[in-house]
Amino acid sequence: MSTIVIPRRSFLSALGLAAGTLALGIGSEASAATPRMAPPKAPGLPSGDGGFTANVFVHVAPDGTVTIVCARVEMGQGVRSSLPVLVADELGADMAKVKIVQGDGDTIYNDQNTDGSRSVRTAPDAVTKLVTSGYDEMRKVGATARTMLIAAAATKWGVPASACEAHDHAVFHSATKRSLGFGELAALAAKVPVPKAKDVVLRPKSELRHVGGPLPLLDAPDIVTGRALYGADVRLPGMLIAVIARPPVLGSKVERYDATRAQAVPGVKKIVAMPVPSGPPAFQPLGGKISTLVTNSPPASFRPNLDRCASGAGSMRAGAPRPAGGGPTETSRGCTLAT
Amino acid sequence: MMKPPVSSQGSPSCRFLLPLLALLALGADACGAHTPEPVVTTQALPPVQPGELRAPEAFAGIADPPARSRALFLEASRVMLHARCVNCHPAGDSPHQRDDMAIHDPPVKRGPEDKGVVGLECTSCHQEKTPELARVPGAPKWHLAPKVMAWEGKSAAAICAQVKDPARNGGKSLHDIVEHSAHDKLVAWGWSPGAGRTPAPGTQERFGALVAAWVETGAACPTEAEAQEAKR
Amino acid sequence: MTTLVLRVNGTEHKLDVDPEMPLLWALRDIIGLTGTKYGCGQALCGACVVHLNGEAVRSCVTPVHRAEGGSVVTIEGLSPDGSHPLQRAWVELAVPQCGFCQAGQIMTAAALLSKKPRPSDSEIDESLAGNLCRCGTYTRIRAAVRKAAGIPT
Repeated sequence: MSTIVIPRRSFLSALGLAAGTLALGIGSEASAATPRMAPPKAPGLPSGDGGFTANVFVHVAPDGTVTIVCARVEMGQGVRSSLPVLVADELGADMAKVKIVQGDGDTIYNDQNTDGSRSVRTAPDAVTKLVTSGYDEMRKVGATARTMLIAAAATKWGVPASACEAHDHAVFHSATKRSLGFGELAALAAKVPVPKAKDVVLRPKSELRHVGGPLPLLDAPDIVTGRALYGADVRLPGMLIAVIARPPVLGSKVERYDATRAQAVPGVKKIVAMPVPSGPPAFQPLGGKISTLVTNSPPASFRPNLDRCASGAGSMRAGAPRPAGGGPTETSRGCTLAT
Repeated sequence: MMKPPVSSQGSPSCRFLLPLLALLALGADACGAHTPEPVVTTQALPPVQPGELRAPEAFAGIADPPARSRALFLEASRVMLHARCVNCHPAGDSPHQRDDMAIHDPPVKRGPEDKGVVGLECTSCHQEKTPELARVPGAPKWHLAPKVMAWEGKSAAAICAQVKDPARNGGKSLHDIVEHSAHDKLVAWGWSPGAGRTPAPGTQERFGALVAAWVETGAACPTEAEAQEAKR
Repeated sequence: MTTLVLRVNGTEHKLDVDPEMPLLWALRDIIGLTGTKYGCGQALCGACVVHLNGEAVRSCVTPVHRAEGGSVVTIEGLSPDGSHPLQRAWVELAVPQCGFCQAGQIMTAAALLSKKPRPSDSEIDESLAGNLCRCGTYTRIRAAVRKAAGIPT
C-alpha cells in the first residue's frame, strides 16, 4: 500500500520547476561486476512486467513508471519526500512518473531503524555495512540504475556510454540527436551486467534538479483530502477491534473482574485478560490489562459503537491490584476511551 | 439581637484564607467543596449541609419581611456563587471550569454573542446533554452569560442588585427571574452536571422556591456587610 | 437502534444506529469515511471536526441524531479534488508533518473563512486554538490560512 503517484501539476508547481528527474541506484550489488541471471529479490517492486529492477530500491516499468522504495518509516519527518527524491534526481527521472512505495520490514534493506534524525545523515553501506549517509547511499542507488540504463542505450545505438546523458526520464545521445525513454529501455537494461562500484559515478551536485532546494511534501495532497491511511483507518475482513482497560497503577495486575455489563454491550465478542508481563513496564504497553473485543463488520450486519463498548469496559469494575506495601484496593476506572 | 454561632470551617488554612477570600467573594470552594453558610442577622437558621439548600419555610422565623427577604437571597446566593454557576458567569472573555474555577481548556473565547468564536462555538463541543463517557457538560443552548451578568468576583449583595436591574438582567421582570431560576434548562444543568462534578447545592426546584419567596417578600438585597458575614 | 438518514458530503445514508452514537463513528466505521480522525474522544483536540449545517462541530461528542435532517461535510467533501484554497495552500506550504490533526485543522479553518474571509492573525489564533498539533505545525497552519484568505505575506 502507500503507493503514491505524484500529480505533475502539484509536484512541479510546488517546486516551481519545469521538469523533474530522479535517480536510481543499486545497494547491494554495486561492487561486483556480476552478470545478472535474474533480477534480485525485490519485495514491494513490480515483477514479471518486462521491466527493469535495478536493485531492491528501484524498478522501471515498460510504460516508464519508475517505482522507488522508501525503506525508512515516514512519521511526518518527511523521509518519504526526501530519500526517494535523492534516488530520482541521480537517475534523471521525471518525478511525475515516479511511484513511491514503503518498504516492509525486511533485512534486505539493511537497517530500517528510523530515529535520531539519522535517515538522511547516516545509513549503513549496503555491502560493507559501514555507516555512510542515507544521502550518499540513495544517490549511489540512483546512479547505478542510471549507469545501467545508459549502458543499455549505448549498446543499442553502438555509441560510447560516455557520450550519453540521462535526464528528463530518458537517455540522450546528443551527437546524433537520438533519445530513448526509460520505459523503452527497461527490457534492455534488465540484461545489463551490474556495474562495478568504480564505474558508478555520481552527478555533479549542480545537476540534481530538486535536491538542495525545498522539496515538496509528497504526501500532502492525500493528507489534506483525507485519503492518507493511518493505522486506525485500516479495515480488514473479519477484523475485530480491541478496547483496552488499563490498570490504574503502573506495574499492577488484575485481581478479578466482572464482565457482565461489558459482555452485554451489542457486538462484544469476548473479554480477555491480558497476560501479566514480567520485568519493567518499559516497552510493554499491553501488560496487565483487560481487553474487550468488538466486531467491525460491514454495516449491513452490525454497528460497532466503541463509545458504548467503552461503557461496557468501564463498567467491568476490575479488581485493582494491591500496592506492594498493602493498602486499599480501588475500582479500575475502565478502558482508555473512558478517561 | 442574638448572633448565631459561626460554625467552624475546619482547617487552619481555611480560617486564615477565608477573610481574604471573602473580600474577593470567590466563595469557599477553594478550601474544599464547602459553600458559604449565610449568617442571618436576626435569628439562628437551622444548620445545613454544604450540598443542601434551606427551604423557604426555614426562614419563617424571621419576622421582619425585608430581613427575611435578604436572608432568602443570601440562601439563594449559595447557588449563584457556586462554581457550577460562576464558571459561566465570568467577568472576562473565557469561561472557567472545575471546582477550582480554572480557565477553560481548550482556550475558548466568548465571541461577539457570548456563544464562542467561529469554528469554536460553544455548541461545537457542548451538546444538549452531558454524554456519559466524554463528560463534556451538556444542556440546551450552551453559552456564556453576557458580561453585564458576570458574577465572578462579585458579592451576593452586588449580584442581587445586578439581578434586579432590567438594564443588566436582559430585561427580565422579577417574575421572569423566578421563571428563569426555576425552569431554565441551562440553569438546570448546575444540579446535574454529570461526570462526578460537584452539583450546586440543593435542587433547582428549591432554588426556584427561594427566589420566588425572595420576590414575594419584596426582593430586598442584602447589604455588603451581610454578604461578607454570610461567607464565613 | 433507530434508522437515521444522514446527508454526508451530498450523499444520503440510511443508518441503523444508536442515536446517541457519536457522529464520528458513524462517519468512520459505518459510512467508511476515515479522513476524520479520533484523537481524544472528549472534544479536547479537534481532530474530529466536521461541518454540520456549515458550522464546525466535534464529531466525537456530537450524537449522530443531531445530524439527522442536516448536512454534514467531512474533509473528503470539502472539495471534489483537493482544490479548496485551504487544501491548495496546505500543499504549497507543506504544512503537515504526521498529518493526523490536519483534517480537523482544515475543517475548522474552512468554517472560519466561510464567515470571515479575511481574518486577522488573532482571529485565526482564536478560532484554531482548540485544534492541537503534536508535531507543532502551528506557524505553517496560520501561514496557510492567510495564504488561502489571500492575505499578502
